[in-house]
This record gives sequence, C-alpha cells and structure tokens, in this order.
Amino acid sequence: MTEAITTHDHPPAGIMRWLTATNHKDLGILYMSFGGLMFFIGGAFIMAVRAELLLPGLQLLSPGMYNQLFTLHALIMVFGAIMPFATGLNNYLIPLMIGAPDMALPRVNNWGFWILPFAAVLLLIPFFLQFFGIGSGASAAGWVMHNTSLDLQSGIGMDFAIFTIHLLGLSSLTGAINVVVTVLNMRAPGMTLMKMPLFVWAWLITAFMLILVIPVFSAAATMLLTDRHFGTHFFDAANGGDPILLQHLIWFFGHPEVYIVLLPAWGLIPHILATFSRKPVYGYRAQVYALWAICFLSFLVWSHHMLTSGLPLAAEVYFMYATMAISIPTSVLVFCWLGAIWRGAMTFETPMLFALGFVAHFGMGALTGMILPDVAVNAQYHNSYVIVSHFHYTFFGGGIFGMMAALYYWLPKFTGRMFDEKLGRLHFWLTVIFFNMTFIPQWFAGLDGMPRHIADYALRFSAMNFISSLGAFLLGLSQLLLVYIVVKCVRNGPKATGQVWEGAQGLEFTLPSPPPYHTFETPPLVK
Amino acid sequence: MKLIDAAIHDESVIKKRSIRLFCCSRRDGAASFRETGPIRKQLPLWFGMVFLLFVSGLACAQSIWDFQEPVTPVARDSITASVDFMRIIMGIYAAVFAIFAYSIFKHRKSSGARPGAFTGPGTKWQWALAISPFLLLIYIDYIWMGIPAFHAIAQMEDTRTAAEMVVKVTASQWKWQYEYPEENIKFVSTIATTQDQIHNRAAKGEHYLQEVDNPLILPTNKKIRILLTSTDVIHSWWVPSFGVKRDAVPGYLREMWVNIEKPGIYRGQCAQLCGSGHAFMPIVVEAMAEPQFKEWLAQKKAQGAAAESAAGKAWSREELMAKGDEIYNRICIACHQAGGAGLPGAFPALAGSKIVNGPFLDKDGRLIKDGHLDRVMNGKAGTAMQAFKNTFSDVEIAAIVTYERNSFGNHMGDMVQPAQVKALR
Amino acid sequence: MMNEPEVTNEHEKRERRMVQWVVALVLFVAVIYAVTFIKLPVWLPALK
Repeated sequence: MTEAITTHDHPPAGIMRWLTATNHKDLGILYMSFGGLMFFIGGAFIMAVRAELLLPGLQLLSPGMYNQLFTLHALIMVFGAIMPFATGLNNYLIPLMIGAPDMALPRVNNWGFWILPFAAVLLLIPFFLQFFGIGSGASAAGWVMHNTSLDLQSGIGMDFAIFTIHLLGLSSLTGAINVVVTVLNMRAPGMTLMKMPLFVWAWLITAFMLILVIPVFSAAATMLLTDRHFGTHFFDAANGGDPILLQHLIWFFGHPEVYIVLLPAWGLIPHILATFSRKPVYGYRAQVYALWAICFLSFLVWSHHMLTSGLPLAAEVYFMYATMAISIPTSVLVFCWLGAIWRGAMTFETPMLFALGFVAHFGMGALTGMILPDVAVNAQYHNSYVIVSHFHYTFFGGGIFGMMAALYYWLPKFTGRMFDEKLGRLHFWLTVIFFNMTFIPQWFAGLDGMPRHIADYALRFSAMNFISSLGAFLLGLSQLLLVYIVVKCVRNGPKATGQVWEGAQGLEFTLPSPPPYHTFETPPLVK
Repeated sequence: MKLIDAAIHDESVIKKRSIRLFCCSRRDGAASFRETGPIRKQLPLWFGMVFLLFVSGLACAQSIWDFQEPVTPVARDSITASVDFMRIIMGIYAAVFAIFAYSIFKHRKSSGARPGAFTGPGTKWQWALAISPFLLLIYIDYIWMGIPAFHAIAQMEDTRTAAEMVVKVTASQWKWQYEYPEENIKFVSTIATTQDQIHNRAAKGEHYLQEVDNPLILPTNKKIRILLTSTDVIHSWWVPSFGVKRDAVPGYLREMWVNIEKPGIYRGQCAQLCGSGHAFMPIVVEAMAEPQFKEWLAQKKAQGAAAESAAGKAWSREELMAKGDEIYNRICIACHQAGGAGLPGAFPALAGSKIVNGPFLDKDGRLIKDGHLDRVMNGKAGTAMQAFKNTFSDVEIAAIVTYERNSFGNHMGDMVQPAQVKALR
Repeated sequence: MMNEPEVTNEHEKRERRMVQWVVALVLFVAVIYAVTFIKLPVWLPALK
C-alpha cells in the first residue's frame, strides 16, 4: 500500500519517473522533447539535401542516398516532430484547460508515447545499416510512398518504413482516442462544449480525423506489405493490380493529415492573439464551425494530389471545385484572427511575433493553395518546386510557426521561468528572414519547370537553388538558438508568475507556474 | 558565374510578365514584415528581402520569374490563368495584410490603445464585412476563375477530336521510348549528359541534364495525341513549354495532346519520383515544320531498314565490343556503375558475377532461364532490371552481352551475334 | 452538496461512459481498417 501511495503522490526518482510516467504533464514534456529532438534530426537530414543542391552536379550524395534523405526528412518532420509536439501540447494543456485531473486513459497515454522512440529507431535502422553493407538503406520512395511499383521494388528500408507506419498509427490512435474520451467525459462542471477553449476544440476535431484516416493508412501499408511478401496483388500492375489504388488510399489519409498537422496550430493561435491584444477571442462560434467544416471537406478532396495521374474528366472537375471550397472556411479563420487583434491593445512579445508570423506565412500557403486545384494550371505546378514551396508555407509557415508560438507562450507555464525575450525576438526574425530566403526561390524554380525529388538539376535552376540552399543552412543554424533559449530558460530564467502574460485567460493561468504535479483533483467550477 | 551565364542563354520569356511577377513577389514579401513592431525591428527583414531580390535579380535571366515560353494552346491558357490567379491572390494578400498592418500600427498598447471587448460582428456593416470574404471567394473560385478553368480542363482532356497523329510514349527506368505506330518507327531516348559531367569531372554543357541522344521529333501545327504507359514504375512526362504533364502508369494507357505552334527545341524531364535515376530522365522534343518532319520520317525508316540488314550480317568481336562499350557507358552504368562494380545492396556487380560468367544458352540453343542473355532480354521482375528486348535492337543486345562477358575482369571469350538474338525474341 | 453514494454513482456512470466510448472508437477503427481491405478495391476503380 505504501508503495502505491508514493507512486501516486510523488513521481519516482530518476529515469523511472519518465519510463513509468502516467502523469499528463510528464507525458506532455516527454512528447514535446521527443518532437524537438526529431525536429533537429529531420532538419539535419535536409541540410545534407540542400548541400547537395547548392550547386549543379553531384558533389556529396549518390542519388539513392539523396532519395533516402528527403524521404526521411519528410517522415520525421511530419510524424516525428510536428505531430508529437502537438500531442505533447494536448497532453499537458487539455486537462488544465478543461479542469480535469489528468487524461482519461493515463496508462494508454504512457504506451502511446513509448511506442514513438521505437518507431523512430525502426525507421532509421536501415539508414545506418547500409553503412555496414547491410541492406540498401532506408525507404527512398517519398513520404507517402505514392509511386506504387517503386515501393514494390524497394529494399528492406520499405519494410521498416511500413512497420514504422503501423507503430506510429497505433501511437496516434491511442492519443486520439484518449483525447476524445477525455474531452467528452472529464470536463469540469459548467465547462460546456461551447465554452471549451478553441485549442481543445481543434484537438477534439483532430482526434476524430485521426481516428478516421489512420486505419486507412495502416491498411494501405499492410496491403503494400502483403503485396511485397505474401503474394497478393492489390497494387502490382504486372499481376493485374492497380497502382493508382494505393495513391487513392494514401491521399485519402494524406490530405486530412495536412489538417491534422495544422488544426492544433489553428486552435492555439486565437489564444495567443487574444492574450497579447488583451481582448476576448473573436468569433468563437464561427471558428468552431469553420474547423468542423474544414474537417469535413478534407475527406472529400484527396485526389487533387493526383490531378496528373489521368483521372476521368468528371472526377477532375469535382476535385477541383471541392478543393476550392476549402478556401471558404479558411477565410473565416483568417477573418477571426484579424478580428482578434482589431482594436486591441497589442504588445509584441515573442509568442505574439510567432503568432503574427504564422498568420502572414500560413496566409501565403493558403492563398497559393487556391491556385493549385485549377486542373489545367496544376499540370504545370504538380510535382514541381512550386508544390515544395507551397507546402512548406503551410507546414513550416503554419505548423512550425504555430508550434513555436505555442512553445514560447506556454514555456513559462511549463517551467515556471521566463525565457530571454531579446533572444526570442532574434530567433523570430532570423527564422522569418531565412525561411523566406529558402522557400521564395523554390517557388520561382518551380514556375520555371524544376521538378521535385531530383538530386541534380539543369543549369537554368542554379541561381534559385543556390539562394535557397544558403537560406536553408542559415535557417537551420538559427534554430539552434531555440535550444539555447530553452536551456537558458530552464536553467536560470527569472521566475514566472502564475498569470505569466498580462492578458492571458483560461484555467491554466489560474494555477501557479509551474503547475503542481497534480492539479484540479477537485474540479474547478466554471461559470 | 558560368552557371549564371548559362541561365541567361536560355529561352527568354515575355519581358513584361516577368517584371510584373517580380513586383508581386516583392509586394508579398513586404506585406509579411509589415505586421510587426516599429521600423527599427523591421530592418533585418528589409535587408533580407533586398539582399534576396538583388542577388536573384542580378543572377537570373528574366525568364525564370514565370513559366517557360508557352508554345501550345493549352500552355498559353495555363500561363494566362496562372498569372491572373497570382494577381488575384497577391491582391487579396495585400488587402488583408494592409488591414493587419493598420491594426498593428494603430492598436498598440504603447500608443495608448484601449482594448475593445467585442467578440463578433455587432453592426450591420460589420456583418457585411464578415460575409464579404465568403462572397468574394465564391465568386473567384466558381465564376471568375472557375468557369474558365472548366473550359480549360475540357479542352485539355479532349485528346481525340480532330487528332491528326498518334505518338506512343513508353517510360521505363530511366529512359523514354517513342513510337510512331502509323509509321512503324520506334526508338529509345536516353540522357546524353555524361557521368563525368554529372560528377564534376568534365565541364557542363549549356543543356546539362536536359539533353538526350534521340530527341522526340514532332511536326508543328498538328494536333498530336500522345499515349503514355510505363513498363515498371510510375513516371510523368512533362515539357513545361507544352503545358501538359501526365503520369505514365504501368498497366494503363493514359493520354494527352499537344499542338506545337512554333518550331524549336523544347526541354523537360520526368516529374514523378521513379527511383535513383529520377533526375536523369530528360525529355527533348524537336518540333519542325511538316515537310522537314516528313523528310525525317523517311530518313528514320531508311535507318531502320539498314539496322535490319545489319542484324543479319555477322559482327566481329571488335565491332561488338566497341558498340557494347558505348551502350554500357550510356545506359547500364546508371545502375551497375563504372567498371561493373555495382552498388552493394542496391545494384548487383557485373565484375565476377555468376550470371555473367555462366552459360546463357542450353544445348538446344534456347535461353537458359535467368542466364545472362535472358536477364538482359527479359529483365528481372520486381527490380529495376527491365526487359531490354522491348527497347534495344538485336545488335545492341548482342553488343552489350558480348561486352559484359569480356570486360571488368570477366573473360568468357564467347560472343553473341545479332542474328541469334533475333531468333530468340 | 452531493452525499457519498451519489458521488460514487456519478463516478461509476462516468467510468462506464468512458469505457463505452473507448470500445466504440476502437471498433470504429477496426471497421475502417477492414473496409479498406474488403471494399475499397472494389469501389475505387470506378474513379479511374
């Protein structure tokens, strides 16, 4: 009995605290640290890719190695960095925001996290094995593995990637089910659904999306595995299978996946804008409905990723118009962000800078996304660097900027210490400059006809690639500043108050910083 | 600077449009820094943008600010639609972020602003403002750009009406085979850039990576229907000047059409990740007026007849070795590497290979399954080793097999005659 | 203020509801996974 009581009241010391963690705050920290670590690993991979692309000709990498590196970069950034970081935020913040003592399923929560390091290792093993002459390296078929027959002829790296996808899927599903059950059952008295903070709403919707699409992705990966090893012919054209079927399955997952990455950011941006404008959230209801609308539409537009694959005319027209419809709920979100700062009393601390940076860059990603579904023009954009530029404006300009804003916003709450504001601002400006220096040239390289995924390029693309590579190196370097800022904050930042930011609202800011190990054991009463 | 010169040499595009886009890009960058803080804090970004524009403006030919010069009706339509759409989104961006910038300057705490407490539109005017993006976007998406887009798709997908000629494109790792079914002409087009150029051991030519041995020759001012398929993985045929891109999917026949309005040489490349040779799969199309095209067809047919008779004659070892050397260094080397060393784990070595150093015909003169000649002619399922009998002539197959058996330290001493290959097809 | 038995009751109800949710969601996942195998290869070729 005594033992049980100690493990409940105080965490066990040392490593066991983290291995056996069921506390939502510990798990949140674990998830976020893992996401941060993966952000730098995925970043390191793409530095090698950009170094190869600095000048025409092959200097550093073989084309096969090049393909592995960008594939790993994408898989790691999407599944290893952004998604776990967003999951960490939900773990830490959802119970605090809805006044619950913990997540509904704490042990499942532990399991969900500890799958991740193994999945990451599994993904990377074949990459390192090749240096010892074993196997042909990691998966080199792009993050969604959409070129079916290429998947079928790949080496063991593909099998490892397929297992990784299953594990990551399992982890995401446990997390998603946990969020749904927690949000629907554990809210404090008086916290009705329409009083929930938008971040909680966004995550609830994200969780539903995950529950719907992850099984499809896993099933597609399983089918690929049986095609490779157990004699089925779902996708194998040489034996009457359908290579396009895999593309349909994978994009049915892949498009909602974009919103799975973005929704948590969309949910937290209104909090930050409202706080630093010292105003209540603008258009709460409209934003909730817009998020649901985007969730719904995201399931109906997947084939705009395959407009050059030879769909019938009717399907092309449908997917074009359906995709364009997404711009409408997105415009509601942008309008509400504008409403959030309008006639406020703004100050520009680092989280606010990142939130505004998010709006500016995500805005570009969203607007360029309006052109892409035009089927006739898409023939020029598809699989060119235009696409690379576009989705980095949404994933980095949207996803990463959003996560950075969240990190700076809640870091004093997590650690109880303030970060160095000056360095934070410096980090913001460096990120903005070098991000644009990296991805604006890519847009023009794409317009000029440079396809993606190529290890070497024709001379007409050299100037743009040179600038883009320099930008990428500097962007990568300036992210190291973030590590310094976080370490400095945790080590010896000045003490933060419970309120942290002058205009901050929400249940989490009624607690001291850092919040005690157990919070809201008696639920607060929400008016 | 050499690279840059090369870029300047390239096809130039209509000047005005380039400049227009150039300005748009600056405006769009400008909006992104407006949103924060006093001027002092914007300085780093200013410098960044000015540096970027200066360097890129200086370094690049104007043509790289937009699509390549359009030479088909579809390409012209898409460049117009693209530029229109770009102006629309730049306009929206500028308008929205002008409001953001205004708010950021006006509603700062430091300038004494008092926060409002509203949580949604209150007055009729505010409601009108809130609804306006809806209406505007519906108008842009479904009327302004949507209706022309529908017609453009219908035009792009109408491959059959009044098509005057058919060309069949068969993709395989990493080359294109072009076939004129009505003329019974068929040839393979592979990259002409050498491994030395790619690995920086030799100077790069003007059309580095966008040059081929046998370009696709097409007549101008004719509606040409292009059929596409693939023998292994999915590839994608893309020539930017034609405004069309379509995947070549194994097991399916896809189609598109072009009508080239201007004679010239147009370059593109494979646009679908298709393995380690993806960057080295260029497309070159030479468009010429009808009479020259007819002349070329006649010439090509004569060549075909000559090759036919060449396959009949007995070739000497030296002839086969010389031809084999040329083919190996152009095609096989992409996977099996220089000196037949292969890439461990990915592509098998030929030097000392059991298959290469084994028999290839049984005692009845039939192919030995998985013997050397069988591998070259019929490929190995599920790998990048494809059935070369589909793309190589009899002479080429005979030459390459003879060459491989007597190079890289392999000393089989035997040889294969084109006539044998012909009989074994 | 609630008295003791009501509190346990409330707790039990919530626990039961949570278990129901978990079971329902897991079943939902299983169904989608299965349907992908069984039905989609039949439906989707219509889109080709």
